[in-house]
Amino acid sequence: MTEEHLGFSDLDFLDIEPPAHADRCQECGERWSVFRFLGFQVRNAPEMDIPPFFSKRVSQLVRQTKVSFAIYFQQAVRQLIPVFMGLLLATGGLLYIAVDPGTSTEQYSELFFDQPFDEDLSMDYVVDSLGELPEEETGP
Amino acid sequence: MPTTDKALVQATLEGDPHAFEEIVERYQRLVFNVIYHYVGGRDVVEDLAQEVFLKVFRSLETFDMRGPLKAWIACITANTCLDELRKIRKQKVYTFSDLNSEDGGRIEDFFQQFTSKGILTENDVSELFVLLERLMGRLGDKDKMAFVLRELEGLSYSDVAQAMETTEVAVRIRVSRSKKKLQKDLEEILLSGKRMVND
Repeated sequence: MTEEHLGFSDLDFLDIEPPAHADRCQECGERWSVFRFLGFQVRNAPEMDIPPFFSKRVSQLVRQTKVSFAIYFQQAVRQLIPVFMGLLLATGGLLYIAVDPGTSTEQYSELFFDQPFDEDLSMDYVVDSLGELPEEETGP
Repeated sequence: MPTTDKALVQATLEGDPHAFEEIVERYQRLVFNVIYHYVGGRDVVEDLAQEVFLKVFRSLETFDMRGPLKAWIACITANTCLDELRKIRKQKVYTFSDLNSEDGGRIEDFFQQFTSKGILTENDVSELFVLLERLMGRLGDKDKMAFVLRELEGLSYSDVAQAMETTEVAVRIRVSRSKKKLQKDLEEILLSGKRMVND
């Protein structure tokens, strides 16, 4: 029975000991050397030199951004003040109209009738009103 | 000066100017190397790193204190790198071309040297990395990012998953696929010729 070949994608680059199978199988032995070569490159990849005072420069840049943001915010607020005032006045006016008692139906009725219009019709009131009607003439 | 990452974030949010400088100091190496290994080209690295830290500062309020700051910064770096690659490709100056025969020959030389001596000089390693960059340029964008974060920067699978806003299983698959492709490409360069000679 033949052994299965190695699955190199599952191996770790930090493994430096060749798997036992690589000793017995020429193909896997060659592939193992390529894998080790790749791992060596990955582990020894050159690093980027950090420019001097980079953190200080970024920190200063951030502070400038913060200051310019504060100025921008102040300008935006100044420009928006008239809009806010307008909105405030409009909302106040609408609220005044909504809660003003002079606009209710009863108040309007006073303009046309002496007494406020009474919308409640009780049963007694209806019966009394019928009693006041002239009697109907009876036929011959 | 606060010592933990979370305390530094808190202090920055409260307006301590030195706290953010300390955050930059702690993670600048990671950011520089991810950009260098992923985008390549030393000339663009500093500008991109600066962009990353400005983004970090601007969105610090959205940082979830329960997660690691390292993975969060790696996430912003990864997204900045992916955007940069898209931009470069749009401008059609993307230069990670396939390896030519001369590059292949150079890799073979390095391989012979490595197999006989077991080590390479610092200059050789730098030169070899340029060739490796080209091989990595053949990987898919996200596969390459997973490979860079995990294998070159040494982040844990969990941190890579958070940085790439995906699952650990997906990261493992991406890393494994990248290794397989790189191994296959290198084998094609180094072994196919040799086998043909032997046959």
